[in-house]
Amino acid sequence: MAKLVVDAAVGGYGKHDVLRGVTFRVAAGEFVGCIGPNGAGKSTLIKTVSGVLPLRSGCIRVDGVDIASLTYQERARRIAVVSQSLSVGFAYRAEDIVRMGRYCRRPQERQSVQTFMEWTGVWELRERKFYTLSGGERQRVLISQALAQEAELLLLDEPVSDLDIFRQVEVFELMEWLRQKKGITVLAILHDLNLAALYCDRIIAVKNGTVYGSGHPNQVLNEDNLRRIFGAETVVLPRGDCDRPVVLPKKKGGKQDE
Amino acid sequence: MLKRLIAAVLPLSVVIAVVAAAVAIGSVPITIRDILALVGRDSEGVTSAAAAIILTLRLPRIALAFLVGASLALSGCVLQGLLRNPLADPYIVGASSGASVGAAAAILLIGKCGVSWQQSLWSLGLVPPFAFLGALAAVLVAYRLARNDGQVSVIALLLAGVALSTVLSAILTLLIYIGDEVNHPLIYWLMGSFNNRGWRHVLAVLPYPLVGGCALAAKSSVLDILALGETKAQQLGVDVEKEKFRLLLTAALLTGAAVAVSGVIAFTGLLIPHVLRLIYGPGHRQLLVRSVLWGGCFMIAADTLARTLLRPVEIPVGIVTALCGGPFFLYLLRREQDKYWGESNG
Amino acid sequence: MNRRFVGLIVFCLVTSLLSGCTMHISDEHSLTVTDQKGREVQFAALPETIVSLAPSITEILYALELDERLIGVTTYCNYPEAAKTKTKVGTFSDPDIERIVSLQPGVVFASALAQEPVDKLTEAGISVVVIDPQDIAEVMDAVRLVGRTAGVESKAEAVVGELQGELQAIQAKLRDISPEEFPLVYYEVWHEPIMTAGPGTFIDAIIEAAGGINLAGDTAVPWPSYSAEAILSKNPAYIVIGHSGQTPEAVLARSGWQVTAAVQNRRVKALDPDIFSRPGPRVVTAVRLLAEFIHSDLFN
Repeated sequence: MAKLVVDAAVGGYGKHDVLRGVTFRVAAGEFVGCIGPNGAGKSTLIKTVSGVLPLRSGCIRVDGVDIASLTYQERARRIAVVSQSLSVGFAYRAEDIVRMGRYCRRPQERQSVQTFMEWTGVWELRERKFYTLSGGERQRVLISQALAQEAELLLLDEPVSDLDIFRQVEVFELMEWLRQKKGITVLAILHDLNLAALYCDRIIAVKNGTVYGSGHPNQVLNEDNLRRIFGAETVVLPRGDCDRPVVLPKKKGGKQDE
Repeated sequence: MLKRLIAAVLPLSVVIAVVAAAVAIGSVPITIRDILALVGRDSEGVTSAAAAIILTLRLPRIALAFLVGASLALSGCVLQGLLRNPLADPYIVGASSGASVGAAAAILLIGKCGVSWQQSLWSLGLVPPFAFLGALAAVLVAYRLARNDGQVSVIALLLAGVALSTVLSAILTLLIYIGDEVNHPLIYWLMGSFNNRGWRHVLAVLPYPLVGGCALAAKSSVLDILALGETKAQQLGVDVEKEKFRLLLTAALLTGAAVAVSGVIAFTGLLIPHVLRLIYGPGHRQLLVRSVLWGGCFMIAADTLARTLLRPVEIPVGIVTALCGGPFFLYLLRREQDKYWGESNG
Repeated sequence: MNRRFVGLIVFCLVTSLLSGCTMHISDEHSLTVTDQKGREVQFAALPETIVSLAPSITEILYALELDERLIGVTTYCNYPEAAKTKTKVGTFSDPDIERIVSLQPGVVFASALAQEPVDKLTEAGISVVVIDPQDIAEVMDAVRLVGRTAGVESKAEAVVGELQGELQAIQAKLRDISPEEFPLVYYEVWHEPIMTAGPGTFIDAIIEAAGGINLAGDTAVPWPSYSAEAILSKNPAYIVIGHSGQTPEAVLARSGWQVTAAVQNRRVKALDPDIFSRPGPRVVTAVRLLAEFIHSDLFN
């Protein structure tokens, strides 16, 4: 059974439909990357799958269960979201933030969150106030918070955009490890096409509120597709170290250096 | 371990000290001997006036001040967590004004039945529910006005609260004009006082902080999570709409009861939770409990000042709290703008 | 030429007689009064019509039987009953200036509470006499002042004589008691919040004249919000309820108050607050009623 099934989802904010019929599946243990131009509906998709935004029509099922039939708590136990950023109005510490992820796991709320924080290397930052942390540190704390929910489906909305290349790789390696050891399924919105190419089992391209196409990175990431999806000129080359593509932007006007 | 013990005992001993001081200090001097004599049932050395004063006026007054202070501080704590804003308090968001209009309406109606509203526990007990409804209506309106895309901004909240308070004050004044003979008490709502309050008032208000406190006992995690915004809170498993409504209801209940029995007392709901948050951190599990304790003590201290500064004349206690809280609020506004404005824009 | 000469003399005589008459009339009725704010007000002629801007002044006017010349009163002028039928010109602090000017009264009697209206009326050419008695003696002066302004001085003297006679009768009975034995009286202006009358108020003067000691006589403000504790510990012998907010029974039931002599002996009485706060002729009635209450043995 597929972990996540999105079936003809139509929805958005109020009367304005951002999603106009999105259909795709994610199998258990898969790492699916979601790419697409700005405003295509990727973040909206995450919000809809996590149950924050209602669907106008269509259906979303996790483990075969319609998420609309679940309570907020049940949803949080199955689906965890890592957002791009978070504004916190009060001086909560990093550990407090991660502990909030345990809310859906009541009454085991009081358990230590050390493990989750060690996975992303933020345990030593636990006493620091969240708003004093750097962008990258904050993102890792948010990832720990999501992990603390112990959900089997992880939705990531550009989780590594603020991280340096070392940290980026670290996070993706962590995702790999979670998939293999814990069987966690990951659906991530990524702007970095190369990271998506390297780590994702499959890539879904979303454009204008619908799925433009999906498949293995080798299939999806080619110059024609990227032109149609993003309207950008690219050069797609095979990587030297593994059977995955690498995407290079093309300079507009002027010759390319050979 | 020792540190924990001290941490637990210290606030309790402060409460006891404050209460003891409040019992002893007043426009009528009561000596330790008087108190001990009373406790030891040896009433020979105590004048009957002193005994009456302690038992029927000063003690209930202290108890009432504690309950009202605790209620207002709790209400402020909840509103700050709910609205994600350290500058929220029952007065600023208009809840106190709403409560006073509700209470005024109740007093007028009771007066029309030919009964003086303070006459009996029954009539006194009718006022808090009306005040609660008024507070609830005001809070809901302020919240809706200030909300934009799920965020409640500082400025919108202050504007909404100010606008609401102005409108409600106008309504209150109108009620005063209509009320003719019964109108005097309505003026007192604007100032706040614990003068001439007895055990009857304590009983009339007691159920509300108890109910409110119980309702909040399990909500500390929810209040913490709400600080992350409604979207994130939902994703973490919080039924935001339901919890929001319950919390608003509780805040209105606490505010309504406090205003019904003592009038509008400003800034306690702002001052206490905020200072506690600065000292002890924002975790609501400890913040709620501390708000009750220190809110109560603060009100006892303010009331003691109000009744002794110009003895035997009494200043409305709302003036004392406003003089303490007002400047603090202005200072906070200046400071919080720098600290959080940049954050939420990021 | 003779006829003309006689005619001229007759003409001169007649005109001189006539002018002498008018001069005689205006001499009789042009007058200058100094009101109770020290203002000098000149009248060219007897003010025929009168407007009153305070309930106390209305009562004075009725006592002086000037009600027929009274053409305007405030909305609060409720004594005597007949006063309620007079034309209303606003309140004592906020009178309707245009209305008053349109009535063109000969004189307006105002209280000291309204400085701005006084100026506005004077600018509009209306004569305003300010009545502002600070104690009972000045109330008598006020009656005399109104009488003089309106040309009924003898009536004013008669009224003053009556009032003073009544006062003196009360004082005479009180002479049997030494001032130390005067009972402590708590006069309650309002109950929520507790408000009483301090020194310098009329109520304070009335209590004193009635042979009592004002419980709040030691405060610095005229209308203090007194601490209930302090009231109880001072132990008033008599409690006067000067408002309609609570019945005496409800006052007797106040928690803690049973410790006072007043409550224990059920000496709690409601008296009409109007007569206690209006500096008019009924102030003597107030003294009498209070004296009858706190010295019932002397006043049967």
